[in-house]
Amino acid sequence: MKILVVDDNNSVTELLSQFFKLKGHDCIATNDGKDGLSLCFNTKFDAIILDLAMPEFTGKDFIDSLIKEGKIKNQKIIVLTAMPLGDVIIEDHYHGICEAIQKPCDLAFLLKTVESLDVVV
Amino acid sequence: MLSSILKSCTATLGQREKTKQKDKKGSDFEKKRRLHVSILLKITMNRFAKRLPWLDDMKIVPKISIMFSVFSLVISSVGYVSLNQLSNAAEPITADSEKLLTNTTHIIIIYVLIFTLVTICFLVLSFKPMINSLRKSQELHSRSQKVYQDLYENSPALYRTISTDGIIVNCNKSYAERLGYTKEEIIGKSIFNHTADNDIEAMRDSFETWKRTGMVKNREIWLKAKNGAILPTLISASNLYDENQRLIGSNTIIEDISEIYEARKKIERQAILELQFTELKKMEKLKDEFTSMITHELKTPLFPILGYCEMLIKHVSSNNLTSEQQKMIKEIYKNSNKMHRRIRDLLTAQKLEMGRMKFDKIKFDVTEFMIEIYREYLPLMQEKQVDFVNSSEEKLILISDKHRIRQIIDNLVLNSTDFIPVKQGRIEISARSKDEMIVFYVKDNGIGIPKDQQELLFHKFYQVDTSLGRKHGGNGLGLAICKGITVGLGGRMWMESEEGNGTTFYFSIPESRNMD
Repeated sequence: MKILVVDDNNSVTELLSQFFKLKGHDCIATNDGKDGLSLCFNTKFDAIILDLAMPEFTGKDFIDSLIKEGKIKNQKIIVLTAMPLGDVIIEDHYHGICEAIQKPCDLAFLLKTVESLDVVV
Repeated sequence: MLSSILKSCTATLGQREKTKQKDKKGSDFEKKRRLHVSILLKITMNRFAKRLPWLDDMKIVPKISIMFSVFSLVISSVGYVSLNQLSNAAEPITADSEKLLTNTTHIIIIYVLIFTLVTICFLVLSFKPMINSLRKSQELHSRSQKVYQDLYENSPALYRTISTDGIIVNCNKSYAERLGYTKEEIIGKSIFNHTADNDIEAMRDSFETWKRTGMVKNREIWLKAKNGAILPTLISASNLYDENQRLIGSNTIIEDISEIYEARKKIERQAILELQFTELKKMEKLKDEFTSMITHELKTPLFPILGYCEMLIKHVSSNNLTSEQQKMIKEIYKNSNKMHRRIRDLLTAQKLEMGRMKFDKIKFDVTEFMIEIYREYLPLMQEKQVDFVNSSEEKLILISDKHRIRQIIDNLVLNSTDFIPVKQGRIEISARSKDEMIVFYVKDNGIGIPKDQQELLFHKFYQVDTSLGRKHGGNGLGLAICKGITVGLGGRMWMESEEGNGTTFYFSIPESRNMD
């Protein structure tokens, strides 16, 4: 699978790209939301792991931009956040956003969730 | 009174007439004169009778009367003198002429007498309104004196009268009662003797102001009672003069404002409380924001720690690591997980406290759910050699937040494992239907909890002193969270425990049959 990881924390992106590569997936990671968005526009990813609380360009901005560009439905996004899930308010939850997972989480669980997206049509 | 005087006048005149009648009996002239006099008297009496209603109040009457009497006396004296001279001169004239003259003189004298009498009557009558007015002013005077006395003496306000050197010369009942003295104890004392120690300067200033300006208005000064108690008052003073308009002291009115002061203090306290409340609310908001921030900030670095540990333990070949290193990594992983749980607990407790906990209620089979829990814990219990039992009833169905109930049971079971004996430990989990509630319980044969600490156990951050038992870690939030969740789900939580004989934690969740 082609996976994009967008998180401002370098340790997180490093961990996830190592892990997914270890599990045989193609993983691109970035610490900048805008970078992630342009990567997203140019390349088709099978899954996007997106952090919400990022400085300047937040995960919400990322999603809003995709909605604005009309490209949200093509995406399979997993929101990965340290915020309590009850506090995560994402409008238009069903357009391209498949899961919301709380940080920290089991890598095995995250992998299972990501791989399950492959099945989703 | 007027009529009686007139009657007596008539009687006197009658008496005189009778004497004269004896002398000049049978004379026609005498008859005419008597008729004349009686007619005159009647006319005079009628006039008086008519004038009676307004006579009493006439202020001019005394003046007229005096003038009239002086005039009558002058006329009568002049008349008498001229008649005497006339009679002396007429001596040589005939006897008939002499007789006529004598009669004329008599008539004039009688007229003069009548005028004098009438004047006296006027005078007497004029005394009555004078006496009345005098009596009235006397009454008025004594009444106003009494009013003043009553006002001073019985007024609820505190009054005192002082001399120019500040000595109390009089005071009223209220003043004496409020300060707890008798009047005798007060009179002769200085005003400073009744002033609160802290306000001596203020009283001195007030006293000087009065002496300088002759007036003091609403000065707040604290007085001191006999028992040492102090009371806030408002003092107003004005000058007091003697009959020669010489300043002799001051009349002071003292308003006891203790109640107003208390009310003011209460309002001030209220305002302070409100301010504190606002501050507290602000602080709490800050605390909540801080908790959210700190937990978020703590969770973020935990993710790589836990993630790499998990990778090393579960996802990469462990061939490159020594068993010692693997043990170390496992230890890091275990403790990081513990830390993660505590952060999660803090967040949960905060949410429960703020009433922001969201419950996701679903219908589930409680019997199945309990078996599932039993199965999951069995390996751990076997490892610890604990007699682990599930005594739940069959066919229990519940509509509630399954995950939160699981969180409570996990917490209670893990708590129990910390307090049961190392060998022969026993933990029983159960769910039973009772009074439209499902009552869950976790029972152990641990060290038990002292009675005085049982209720405190459900408070946040409370830890039972475990110096006698095994050391139990944690942040003291577990049971507070369990209770918070139970209450949030409409149930309640309680415990039964005896020191040395184990503990049972119960919680009940409503069955909500109507939601089927």
